[in-house]
Amino acid sequence: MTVALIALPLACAVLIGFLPLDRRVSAALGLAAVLAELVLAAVAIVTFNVGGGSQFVTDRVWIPNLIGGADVHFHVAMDGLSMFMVALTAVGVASAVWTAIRAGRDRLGLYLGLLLLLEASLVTLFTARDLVLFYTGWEVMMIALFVLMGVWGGARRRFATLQFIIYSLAGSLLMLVAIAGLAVEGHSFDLGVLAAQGRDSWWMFGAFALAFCIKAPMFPLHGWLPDAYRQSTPEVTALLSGVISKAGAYGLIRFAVPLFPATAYHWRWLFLGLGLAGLLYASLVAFRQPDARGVVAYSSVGQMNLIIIGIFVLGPGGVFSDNGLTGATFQMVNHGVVSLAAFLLIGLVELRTGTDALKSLGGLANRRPVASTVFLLAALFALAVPGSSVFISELYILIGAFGEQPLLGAAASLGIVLAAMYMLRWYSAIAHEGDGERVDATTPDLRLSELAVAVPLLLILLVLSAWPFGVMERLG
Amino acid sequence: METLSWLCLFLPLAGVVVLALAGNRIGREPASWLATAIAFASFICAAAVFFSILGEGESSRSHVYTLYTWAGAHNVHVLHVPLSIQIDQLSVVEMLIVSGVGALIVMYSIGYMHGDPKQRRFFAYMNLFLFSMLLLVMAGNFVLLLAGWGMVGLSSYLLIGFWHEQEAPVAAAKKAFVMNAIGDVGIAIAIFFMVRDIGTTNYQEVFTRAHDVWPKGSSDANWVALLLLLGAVAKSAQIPLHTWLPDAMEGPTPVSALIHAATMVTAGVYLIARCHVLFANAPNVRTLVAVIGVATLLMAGVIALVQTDIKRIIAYSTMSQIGYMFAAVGVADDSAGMFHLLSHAFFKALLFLGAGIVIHALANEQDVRRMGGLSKVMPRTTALMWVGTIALIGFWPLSKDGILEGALHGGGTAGWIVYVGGLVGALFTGIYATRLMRLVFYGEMSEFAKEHLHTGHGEAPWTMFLPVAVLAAGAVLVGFLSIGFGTTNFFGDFLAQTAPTIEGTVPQDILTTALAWGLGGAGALYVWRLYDDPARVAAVRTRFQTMAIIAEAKFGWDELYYNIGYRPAVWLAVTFDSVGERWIIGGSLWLARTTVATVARATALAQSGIVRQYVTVLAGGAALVAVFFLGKANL
Amino acid sequence: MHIGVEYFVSVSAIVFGIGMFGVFTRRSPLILLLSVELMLNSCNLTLIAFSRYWGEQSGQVFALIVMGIAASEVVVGLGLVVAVARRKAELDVDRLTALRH
Repeated sequence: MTVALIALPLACAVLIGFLPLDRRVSAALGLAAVLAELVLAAVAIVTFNVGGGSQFVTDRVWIPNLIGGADVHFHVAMDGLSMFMVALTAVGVASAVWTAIRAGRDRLGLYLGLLLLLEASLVTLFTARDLVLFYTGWEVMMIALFVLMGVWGGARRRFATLQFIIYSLAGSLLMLVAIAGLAVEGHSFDLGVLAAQGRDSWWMFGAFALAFCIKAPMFPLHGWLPDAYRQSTPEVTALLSGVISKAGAYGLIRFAVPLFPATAYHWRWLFLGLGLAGLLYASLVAFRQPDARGVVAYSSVGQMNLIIIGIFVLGPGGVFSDNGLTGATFQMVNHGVVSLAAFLLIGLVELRTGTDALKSLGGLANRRPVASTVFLLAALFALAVPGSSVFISELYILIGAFGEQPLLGAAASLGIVLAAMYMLRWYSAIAHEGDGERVDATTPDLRLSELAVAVPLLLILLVLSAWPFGVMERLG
Repeated sequence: METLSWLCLFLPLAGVVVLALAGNRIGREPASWLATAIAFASFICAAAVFFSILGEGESSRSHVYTLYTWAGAHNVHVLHVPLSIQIDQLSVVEMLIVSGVGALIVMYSIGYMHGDPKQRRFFAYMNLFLFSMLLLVMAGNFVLLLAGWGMVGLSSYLLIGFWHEQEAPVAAAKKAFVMNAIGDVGIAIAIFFMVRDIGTTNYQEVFTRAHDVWPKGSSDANWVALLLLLGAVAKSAQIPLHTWLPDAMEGPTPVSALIHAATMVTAGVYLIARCHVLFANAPNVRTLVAVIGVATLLMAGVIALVQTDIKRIIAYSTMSQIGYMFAAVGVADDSAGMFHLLSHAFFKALLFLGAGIVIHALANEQDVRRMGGLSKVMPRTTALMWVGTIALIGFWPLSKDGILEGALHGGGTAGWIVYVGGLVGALFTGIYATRLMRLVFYGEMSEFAKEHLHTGHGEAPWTMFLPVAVLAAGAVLVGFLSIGFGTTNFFGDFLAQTAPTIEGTVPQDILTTALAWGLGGAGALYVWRLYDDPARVAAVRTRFQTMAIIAEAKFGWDELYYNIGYRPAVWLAVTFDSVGERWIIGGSLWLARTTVATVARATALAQSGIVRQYVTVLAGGAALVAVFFLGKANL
Repeated sequence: MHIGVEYFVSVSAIVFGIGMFGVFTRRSPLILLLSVELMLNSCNLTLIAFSRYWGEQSGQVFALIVMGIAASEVVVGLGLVVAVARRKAELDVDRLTALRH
């Protein structure tokens, strides 16, 4: 099952990307591929055995005896977290493919091929249980992003892409060194084997953490983010914010902390402190952004820092750490979907009006009830309105934070108020008052093909809000 | 009873979904009637539940029903949140108020919102509000309470900002939401305490174990109560989080009636009554509740004296009356507070809806100086408004009296403050309430009114009149609940288990009643005669000039918050954006880029393309190597 | 008559010096290549001399390899010179600096 989830997009990527196919054929094949992937992911979720730990396992020797007597295995498995991350990837790439087709990107075949390659690499990294395999997925993801961002982006895409790639590579290369170090010391690349050895190594933990904290991003390593999010195409930005940032958090949860539990516990306040600072800092900066993308970008930074707080409440007892981690993993799912929806909707606005500058927008809700509702829902989920699944995951993170240190929990809760402020400003600037200079009275309401972009995502969020337990019990 | 309770809760939600999905396919009138029917259906379910409860013995009146596990995990440490509702006397009273008054107001909106382009959306939002408020009062645990709490704030945002084509409603909606969000944070942090120390947020467990884990008067106990109070204060527009309520009048009048008079703003009182165990555990905080109540009732009363917008007069009146309710629960007289909540729901909604009829008839004019003499053309509305005014001043029902008595007899020092403050407040109430009636319905009709008045088919359609009349009847009848026919406090006895009162008082204290009537009546008479002579009005204003200026400036709270809250936050955001993002983060990246570039450029000097340079370097290097090896070979 | 190895080595050194002098001072790429050839051949001479001195064949084998490499390198170099000449550029090593940063 897991192998199929990796192989399908990979094979289709090669097919669509390299064969000289007609646009419509590429589009149809691309859609078929992502829909098939969605079906596979759904099957996995439905057949998942709650409380059964890692399932859908495949483990084969790939490269025997690479360094230090360690074999590289093709070892993939899905537990609750991996499975939902894979599902998130499937949903995200499917939305991206549909948006790309609608927006008429040129060299569509290559573009879709790259998106599918991105999907394959993400599924790999989310399911890998072998360090080298994980690293492979990580780097292939970077390659796909390099081309996607660098070729199809906005006016300053070269600068944004290079900044992003070099910054990320700096972290990844250090991580590679640490992986090699682990192999030499622990004689294995396998996650389970290495975690059981329970080591305490500052530099190795630091290397892993650095790579992941750059990707997440944790404050103050977020400098690459605003440019990258602004210059990419909307669907790539949606994927960056919705899925790829989660890969950073995932790396911390799956690798950095379990491989070096004592080190992580020893240094947790560094991450908790920076996470708190990042949450409040980014939320305040979000309030000042003049463009729709900027607001959601900094909001994203804030949310990821909140997730990092949830990951690092590693109290010795169970109460706080379990609540914090449950909240963090659930928030990864929720915020992933919210981010996807938000950026794709911004993409729709950009297609219609040619801009995302807030002062040029406004009045989208006038006589356009569907648009009004869709944007409102997106904004509400983004600000974690009580009753929503996002609210639940944030609450659990904060419960964990409070348990670790009451002041931490109380301070982080201020993020709720700040989020209300900047998201309502975002929504009002787009939807309320008179028609902005770029919004025409004749601009029609959202059409079905446009709705197909965002509504499924919002539906997912509504279902999750009605029954968060469904996901939470499987994340266990 | 379980099914009925769930139906009561979920019918309005179904209404929202149906209306949202139907969109334009359903006609405007059918949509409005559908929403009204659903609201009434919900009320019928609530009534049925109420009668069931009545039929049960006192000790078995508390029921907790769970639908499924809403949030949690299989890990025993992770907080378990069931989707459960608690049906007991307190919640059933609230259910009746919310669905009953709610249904009447939704019906009224059929007439009021007729012709509005977004009419269907309005009714969907009203149903959403009903669902949220019912969730709030029926919730069986604090997380669900918080969910309802926040969703009520959301409904308020949507409805205040309903006419979002204009700037003022949008700004007012945002202000309301953000201030309520501060309250949400308070409740959230209280939840954190509960999870940490008790392990669950279910009412049953929290209330039984509270005094074990948080000894009475300990700092933890105080924090929990204080944080819950923060939430209550934000939602109920009490000092210091009250500034959003007057602005909320930008919303349509039915919204002001339902949300900002009868139900949402009273949620804070409900919360304190529901958590009476937690507040009993923190007596100092409880006293603070009373102090806040008295302060607000006095301040709001003063401000109401000088308002010129009909809705804002009633809004400040609401703020003041909720102050009374807070004062009651602050001296541990929860039943008295809840009774005032009940009667207030009737007469305040009545006043707002009546005002709505006036506004509607005067082409949306809300300034009382442009009204006058309307009793001649709108006799029925005037009569109904008098019922509401009499109730507001406190002649009947005796809900305000109940508060004053309870405070006096069982409230200790705080009780005295409440008593005196409450009586002074009664004077103010008399003045501003009568002033409203005097200016709007009596005296000379203004030029504006003469031009714009249109009461083509009667004063208002029957869909607007009937609810107002029913509310008036309710306001009168409700009085009997607390004194029966002189002896039994039916209401207090019913609620005693869930919202304890001070000895189940019956307003029998003739002195207090006389004082309250006297002060209220005196104020009323005074202002009635005052407006006969405009010169005297001006003289009075000059005499109380300082107070008038302070009142007109609403005691300066908005300015205070702007300067100590908003501006620093904006400054911080601007600083982070410029110094933080551009200079520090951007700067560090620039530094990294430039360093690498400089080093690269320096190293690149070696790549000059000049062959002879390469040769020289090569030869030099080779010579060095040779010397090195020769040296090693010891030659 | 037995010629001592020191004579071979000195001749070799002199030729190497001449070659190096040529590389340093001449500006024509053709002469440069010629000088490099001189240096290579002097190395060959040294190798063979010592091979005879130690009585080992490996020196002579190595000399053959060096000849092979020298030949290939000359081919490539002369090809470059011809290409430059064809473009009518000046055959001056100080002016041919296009391969730079």
